[in-house]
Amino acid sequence: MFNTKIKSDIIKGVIDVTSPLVNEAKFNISSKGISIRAVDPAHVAMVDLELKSTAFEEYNADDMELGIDLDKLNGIMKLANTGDLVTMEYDEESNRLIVKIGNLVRRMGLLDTAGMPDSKVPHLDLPAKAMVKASELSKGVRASEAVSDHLALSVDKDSFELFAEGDTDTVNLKLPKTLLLELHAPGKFKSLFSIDYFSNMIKPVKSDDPISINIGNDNPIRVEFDFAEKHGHVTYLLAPRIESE
Amino acid sequence: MICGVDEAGRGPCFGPLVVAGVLVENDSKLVHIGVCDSKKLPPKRREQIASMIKTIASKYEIIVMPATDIDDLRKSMTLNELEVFMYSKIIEKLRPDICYVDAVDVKEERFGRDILLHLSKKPLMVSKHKADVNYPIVGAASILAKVTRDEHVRKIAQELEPKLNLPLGSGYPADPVTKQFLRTWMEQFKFLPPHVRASWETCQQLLRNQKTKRLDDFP
Repeated sequence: MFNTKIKSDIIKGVIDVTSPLVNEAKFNISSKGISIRAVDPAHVAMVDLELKSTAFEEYNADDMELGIDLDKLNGIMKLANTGDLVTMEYDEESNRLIVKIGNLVRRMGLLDTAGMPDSKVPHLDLPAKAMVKASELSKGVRASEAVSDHLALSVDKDSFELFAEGDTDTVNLKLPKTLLLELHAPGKFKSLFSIDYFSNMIKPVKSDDPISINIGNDNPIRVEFDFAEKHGHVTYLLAPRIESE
Repeated sequence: MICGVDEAGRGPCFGPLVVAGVLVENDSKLVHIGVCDSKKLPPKRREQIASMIKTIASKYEIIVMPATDIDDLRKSMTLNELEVFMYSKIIEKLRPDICYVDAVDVKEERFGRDILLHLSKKPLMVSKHKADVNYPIVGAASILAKVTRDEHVRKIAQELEPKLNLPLGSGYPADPVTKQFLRTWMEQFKFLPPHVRASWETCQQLLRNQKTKRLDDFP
């Protein structure tokens, strides 16, 4: 059984977080809520999303997996206004997800989840952590996009720093400890990342919300944030680039 | 005197860009030997016709721009500007009264106008799309360009293929054989092969992938 009612914005949030990496996703359903874990086709980034049952207005569900075409879901959710309640129900007989927005009903064919393997989360030792306001970070990323396709993120005991270098221009954003919500770094840690991927990861975060960042040296980055008024949590992993030889 | 100018090898990521020009009194002999679009001729026939063209022509000129030079020049100019430069060098040497060119610019007239700006003796300029099919003199130039480029690509293939024991293919980025060759090369040697245009998006993409790790690389 899967029978739920939820605010449209929360489902849109789930799509915004997941769709930059994959077109199709396996929704793992349990009585506690929904979780999605997916790796992009290039194996550069992973998303791990949890949405607790408390995020829903109504939630009745047993353990099951739903294979969902995110483009399709996005198509129908675009027709929902902010604040609209959306009913989502699994119809076992037809193996469809029934999405209702007001009087509009979409019966959506589901994908076979057998072809969607469970991804393994790599074990990472990421010693440095910084909590940055989304608006600060997104300014730095937007400035970097204009000069390069990758950026360096570094954390030491005094600050969080973002740096991008192109052929002629550079961008630097240095946030001292006082502007950070949290900072912990036993030394200096630095890794390089693709701006495209990183930009998509922070885009869904509201500008006043904090983003937690864990980094190491030439290691993947872990980007985490809450959504749906803390009833949801997102963890992204992004593989680094290595310095040009 | 009339001349025709055409190029070969604008799109591929391997090998040189070649521009050729052919100068004749009139094109009747060219029509007689069956000069038509070089792309439609089988390679052997094309080579035979190429040597006939060289005998018939009052004069001909060929410029071969190697991949590394293309990369260098692409830092300061567009591909269209580069071709304008090459076409005008050829025409400057041939000094025709009427000049037919196969336009590489989406705006065919602009291409002809840009070439004229570089010429000391201004011919009557006919700049058209598909000129290689519609004007025998341009068809002849097209054949010289194509045959010259093919020769170079053959040499490149002879040099590179034994290193991977794989065919190089046409050298076009869309060719699956060429794609496979480039990917395997990058995996094995970690740098781009020689004679490749590093400024091409395909190659830039390969370099980026090279530097991006995968999550699977971590335990």
